[in-house]
Amino acid sequence: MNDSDGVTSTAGEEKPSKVNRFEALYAQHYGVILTYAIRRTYSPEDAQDVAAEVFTTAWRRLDRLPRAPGDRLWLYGIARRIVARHHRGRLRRSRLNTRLTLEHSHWPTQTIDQEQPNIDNLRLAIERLPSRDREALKLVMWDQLSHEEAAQILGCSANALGVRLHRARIRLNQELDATDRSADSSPERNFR
Amino acid sequence: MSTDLDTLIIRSDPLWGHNAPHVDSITGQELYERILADSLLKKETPRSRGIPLAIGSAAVAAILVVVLVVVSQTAPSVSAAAELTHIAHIVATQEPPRLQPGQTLYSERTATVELTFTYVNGVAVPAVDADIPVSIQTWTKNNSNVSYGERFGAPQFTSPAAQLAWSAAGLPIQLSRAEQYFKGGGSNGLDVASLPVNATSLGALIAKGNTGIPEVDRVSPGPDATGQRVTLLLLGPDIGATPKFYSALYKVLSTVADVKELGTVTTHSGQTGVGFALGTSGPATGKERLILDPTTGKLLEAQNVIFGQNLEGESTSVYAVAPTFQILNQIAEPRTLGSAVPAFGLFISATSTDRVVSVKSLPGIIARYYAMSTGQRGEY
Repeated sequence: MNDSDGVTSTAGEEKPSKVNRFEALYAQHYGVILTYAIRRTYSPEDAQDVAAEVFTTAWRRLDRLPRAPGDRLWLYGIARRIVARHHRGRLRRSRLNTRLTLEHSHWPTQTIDQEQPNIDNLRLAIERLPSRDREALKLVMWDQLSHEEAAQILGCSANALGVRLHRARIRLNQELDATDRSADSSPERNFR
Repeated sequence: MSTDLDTLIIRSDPLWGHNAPHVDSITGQELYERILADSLLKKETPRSRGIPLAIGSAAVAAILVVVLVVVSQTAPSVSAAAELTHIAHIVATQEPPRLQPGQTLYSERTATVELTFTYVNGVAVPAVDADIPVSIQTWTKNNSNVSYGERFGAPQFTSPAAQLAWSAAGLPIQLSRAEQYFKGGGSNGLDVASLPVNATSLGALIAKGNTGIPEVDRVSPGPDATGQRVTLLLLGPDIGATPKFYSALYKVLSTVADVKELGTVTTHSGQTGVGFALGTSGPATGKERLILDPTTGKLLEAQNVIFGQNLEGESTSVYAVAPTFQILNQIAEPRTLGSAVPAFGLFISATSTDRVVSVKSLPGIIARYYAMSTGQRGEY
């Protein structure tokens, strides 16, 4: 029987080092990966499934998993791929391109404040960004990763990531300005 | 309002104002107990809408059973056996597709196969791996006239480094032919027409590896063998299968040791069904999972199916989506447009007259169809 997972084929004779490493990996990073997934999926169940699949992959490839701190970024990279696949499947199935916004609007419960209309518009604008720019923005602004870390996850240089962020900000400003002009009911705003 | 853009972006985070999920450092045993408790809870109550702190996925449960290896069951769980028996009864009442003259039963199934190579052209290389999307189509006119098509997508890598390693090992990024990696495998239908539909008889043949179907019988003997063989038969492509046959398969599965029900499980495409883990105490340690639609008995997805290791490395299905079937009216015979151009045919769905399935969107497949219909072996 396949022993590719590094577990001996006799029940009860697992290799402690691999078990321990997986446990440590899970305990240390499950929270951030689940958080990452929550920010990019439609429901807690979807996020759970993504996080579970990330650690499924991690278990299978534990022998090739980079040592800390690279392991965290590796998990992010896997999560990004799984989320993308998740979205592709969802879009194929439903073609409800606007569902992200609709479902995000009630999950998780948002703090309502005076900026909520702006934030709602901004969320829509973020989701309309090109995928690479959008992910760069989220990794840095939402997941609070450094430019170097985000660049590593996206497989680009830190300079390229900076360009993506700059491009994303310009686009968001343009979109929000356009929204303001069309609404023509709010005070002048300058985000720059 | 003087809020700057970056502040607004941060506040647009769906989790803004919420604490990030935190997982305490826990022992493996505690982890395992949490999973068990969560699985039991899922069977009785709808899933929580809150941010989960415990592991909620049966996929992780399957893995951690690998880690902990503390289950020592020798019989299917009561709920698994009952659920599978119920599904078997549902399937048994269904009508098989009946083809009229000139009609073809078309099926398509997909899988993502993880390939790990340790040898390339006979030379040992550092292990490199990639996920390969696969699509297998069949056109069945009758049990003796079946055509196959395969499409392999470009390898997908977990990281740029993995892609570099793949290339450095001399493996191409673009696959030009399916057979490049599946030497003779992956395209043979499983002829089940002669197998019994009585669950007891069928189960005996499957357990002993005496079905007469090489792809099924070659599964290594052991406590997981029956479950793995049933999975292969469920995935097909099967020739001559009927609802009564699939019903018998589910009944066989209901008697297999170590089958555990996982409750509601979501497939990779987002469908939900009832999940079953196979071989939870054997060497396969519950990694292989089936997800069934409890109302129709349809196999929605199979995960971690071992297809074979007849390559220069290892081939393990990450997941495989069960076939979808469609009856097609053939309105034109395949014909050849020039010597180097594959034959073309045109089919219109019998169930949806406005949908034209054009062979132009299926490059290569009709070439094989044509080759088979003329008794020649061709390439595409």
